[in-house]
Amino acid sequence: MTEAHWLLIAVLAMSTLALRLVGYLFGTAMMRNALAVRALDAFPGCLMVALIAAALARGTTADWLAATVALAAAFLTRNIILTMLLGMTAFVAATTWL
Amino acid sequence: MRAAEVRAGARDIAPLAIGVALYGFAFGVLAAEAGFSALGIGVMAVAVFAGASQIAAVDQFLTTGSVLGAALAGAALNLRYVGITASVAPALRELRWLPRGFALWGATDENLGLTMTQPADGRGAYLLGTCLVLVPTWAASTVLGAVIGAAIPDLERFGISFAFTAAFIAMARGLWPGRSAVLPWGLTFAVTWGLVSLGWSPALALVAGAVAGVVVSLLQPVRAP
Repeated sequence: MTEAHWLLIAVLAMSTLALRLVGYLFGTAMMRNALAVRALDAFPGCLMVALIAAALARGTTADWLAATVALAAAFLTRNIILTMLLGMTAFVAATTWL
Repeated sequence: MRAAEVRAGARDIAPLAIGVALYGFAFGVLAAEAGFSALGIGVMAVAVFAGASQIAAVDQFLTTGSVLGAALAGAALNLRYVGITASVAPALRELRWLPRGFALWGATDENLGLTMTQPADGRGAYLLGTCLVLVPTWAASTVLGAVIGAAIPDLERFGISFAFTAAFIAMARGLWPGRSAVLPWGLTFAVTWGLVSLGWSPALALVAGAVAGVVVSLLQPVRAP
């Protein structure tokens, strides 16, 4: 583990603590602002989609095939572990046979 | 503080804690791949205690090597904690300072919904009970994943490089709010994909894509639920 690893842990820990405190101290006032509530609601889903897009933009055909399988698994099972297992299996199968 | 509510919280969170443990184990394996030691992963689990952001940060760190980009991706994902801690703030006032701080730390997606189904009086103690189970479960399972992951050579043949993408897909499924998300999510995907293809740093591209999606969702008319 390098200094960069520890630095990442420290920065992530501090930013998470700051966000938790902001919500605890000022959240009640913020939640009265309808626009802020909608933005906070919409953000996590959009960020997940962005993370998927960033991975696929650098990915191969195997990534796209595995993503299709994982998407189907996610919609059918709604289970994170099953989705990961099926997606990884599809990825291994695709890289082996393509 | 009321012991009955603390016990009820600890009991009710147990089934969800099993899911958290499996997910934590998988995260530990992947973080070990990214060069984190078991000690570092344990410290991270307790100090950060926000699973999705830990995955996003480690994923970005692994693929881009940038601490700033990785921290930015993780912190962006944690914006929702403002909403989570705002929701539990009234309930926390029934606790003394130390348990209040711990419950504020341990309030997350899994126990928020559960806590809000309880009667308002006693919610703080109930939330504390869930945290007493969830925090050690997350820390222990991620460290175990790191120890076992480090002992298995060549994890690539198990498709480990796709594991994070699959986790993001599963989490996106859980966050899918219905048809109102088609346009924001579609735009987010297109902008992020386009910017990365143009050679942007993925960390910046995904923040730009997500912000574009949020802006579009704010411009949409609000429908009655």
